[in-house]
Order: sequence, then structure tokens, then C-alpha cells
Amino acid sequence: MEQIVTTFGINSKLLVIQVINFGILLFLLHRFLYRPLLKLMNERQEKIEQGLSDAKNASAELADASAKHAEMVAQAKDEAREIVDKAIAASEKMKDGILREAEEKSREILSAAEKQAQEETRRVVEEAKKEVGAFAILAVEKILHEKVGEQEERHHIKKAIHE
Amino acid sequence: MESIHISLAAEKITEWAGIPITNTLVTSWVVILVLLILGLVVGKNPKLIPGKLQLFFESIFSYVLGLMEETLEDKKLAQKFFPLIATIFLFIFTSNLLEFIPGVGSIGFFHGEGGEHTEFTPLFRSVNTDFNVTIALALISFFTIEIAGIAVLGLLKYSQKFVNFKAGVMGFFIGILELVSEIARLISFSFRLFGNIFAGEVLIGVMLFFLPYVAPVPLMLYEVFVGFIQAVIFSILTLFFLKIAITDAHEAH
Repeated sequence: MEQIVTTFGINSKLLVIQVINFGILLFLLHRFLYRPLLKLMNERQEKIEQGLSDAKNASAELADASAKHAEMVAQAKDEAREIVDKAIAASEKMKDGILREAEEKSREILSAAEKQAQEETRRVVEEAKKEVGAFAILAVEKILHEKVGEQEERHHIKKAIHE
Repeated sequence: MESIHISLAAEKITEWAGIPITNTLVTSWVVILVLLILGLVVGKNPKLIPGKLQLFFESIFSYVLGLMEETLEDKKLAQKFFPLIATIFLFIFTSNLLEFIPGVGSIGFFHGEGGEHTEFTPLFRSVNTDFNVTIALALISFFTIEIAGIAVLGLLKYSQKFVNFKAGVMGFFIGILELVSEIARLISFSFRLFGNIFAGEVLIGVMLFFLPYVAPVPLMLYEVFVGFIQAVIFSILTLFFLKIAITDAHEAH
């Protein structure tokens, strides 16, 4: 045993020193290397997990939003079609109304015009009748007058002769 | 022709207050200094987006921590024992790497009376070729394991692993065997590391003596590998024995 100790140079003081040295190294490395680095690694892991879950949430939200978006677009399309349909129907109705009104009006105007025309013609005819009557009387008078004149002359002449 | 000088014990450089300052002690200071500087550089201002050096340490740490969590099956315990396992690995691995820096083993001084009796003492010597260091590491590992076992299981339960009257004669002898193997771990831990690194050192020394150029290179590569493996073995065995120590023998069956 003695020989082993001397051959290997075992020295209790050296042994203790080595243990203490190792202890100091362990302490200092723990304090200055392991603890900050492991803490950082933990932090990073947490951050990565946080980031991953955030990304997951974000993509879920995105999917949700795009679904909502599609829904909204579809709804808007439906609404737009409805509005257009309504507008078309309304305009159709309006067109019909306007047409009918216009027809009525035109008929009214037409009938009014017709009436007026009839009135006019009647009046014209009446007037003409009147005028024609007057002319006829005048003419007759004239003719009669002339005839009467001749006859009178003749009469007068005859009378004169006879006398 | 000078002969190869191989000394199992670390050479004494000087003496201070009755403590022999050996070249391995000096080298171990260098190792500790290197690790502390590295640790301070990396750990002083760690960034969320890591640089290369930080990433290197982080990947080692996360691997080791993952392995520990898997082995101990307990996240808290793994984090508690992580510094020890990591430091054991870093210390042994750095020591074994430092062995290949030019100057380690070649820078030194001669002493003695000159002539035949002149002896060369290198200033640096690979840390793990000193039995004091390996036995110190083994003791640290050993006491950590025992204390952890007692802390987790309680003194009574833990001692029942070794002194067991309940399971009959067979159980008693198994307990004694466990006790012996527990003590034997001290020896296997320290001698494995010491033997591997010392043998590598001697092998390279012999190679350098006979074929100084090129030939030692593959050997040195191999020794780097051995140095890494020994560091891994030491820390992983500590981890496994830790797991065995904190596992209840009855639960395990």
C-alpha cells in the first residue's frame, strides 16, 4: 500500500486541493455559464412555443376571417342581386305605369282633338250653310229683281203702248 | 542516447507551505482558467440568437440535459445534477485536449547535478495522468452519488440496499455485493481514466522517441478520441450510478 502511494504520487494535500479546485470550477461555471445559458435556452424555448402558438392562432384567425370574408361576399352578392331584381321590377312597373298613362293621355288628347275637329266642322258647315243661304237669297233677289225689272219694263212698255 | 523517462507520479516542481506543487497541479490550474475564461465569454452576455461559440455550448448542454432527463426520468433532478455532470465532462475533456498543445510535456527544466543524474521535469503534464486528480474526481462522483441516494430515498431506505435482512440470506449477500461494488467504483473510476490517458501519453512518448515525425499523428488523433470517450464515460457512468442510487430497489423490481 505504501509503495502504491509513493509510486502513484498520491498525496492527501494534493487530493484535497484537486477536489477544492474542481469544486471552485463547478461553482463558477454553474454561476457564470450553466445558469445564464440554461435560463436563456428555457426563455428561447418558451419564446418559440409562444411564437408557434401565436402562428397557429394567427392562421386559425386568418382561416376564420377568410371564411367570414367569403360569407360576406356571398351575402353581398345575394343582396346586390336582390336589389337589382327589385330595381328591375320597380322599373318595369314604372314603365308600365308611364306607358299606360301616356296611352291614356294620348287617347284623351286624341279624343279631345277629334271633338274639337267635329265641332269645328260642324260650325264651319253651319256657317257655310248660313252664308250659302244668304248668298242664295241674294242671288234670288238679284235674279228676281232683274226679272221683275224686265217684266216691269215690259209691263210699263205694254202699259205705255196700251195707253 | 537518452532513455525514455516515464514516471507514474506527477513530478514536483516546487513546494509551497508544505504542499508539493506538481506539474499536473499547474496544468489543472491552466485547465480551470481556460474553462473559466470560456465560460465567462459565453455566459456573460448570452444572446437569444446565439453566436457560434454559444451555439456550440448550447447544443452540448441541451444534448446532455436531454440525456439526463431521459435517464433520471425527472426534470428537476436532471437540472440539479446537470452542473456536476457537465463540469466533469468539460474538465476531463479539456484536460485531455490540453495534452496535445505543444509545450505540454516539452517545456520544463533540468535539475540534478548534471551528467548522468540530470533529470528533466516538464512544467506541464496532462492533468489526468496524475492519480491524485482521477481519484479526486472519483471521490466527488462517489460522494455525490451516495449523498443523492440518501437525499432522495432517505438514509434508512438507502442503507437497506446494502444491509438487507428482509430478503433472506441471498438478499443479504446481494446487499454486501452491492456495497463492495459501490466501493470498487472508486477504484474503477479513477484507474480507468488514469490508465487510459497515461497509457496514451506513454504510447505517444514512445512513438515520438522512435519515430518522431508523422507517425505519432494518427496516434494523437486516436488519443484525442480516447480523451473524449473517457470524459463521456466518466460523466455518463456518474449519471447512471446516480440513477441506480436514487431508484428504490423494491420499486425497480
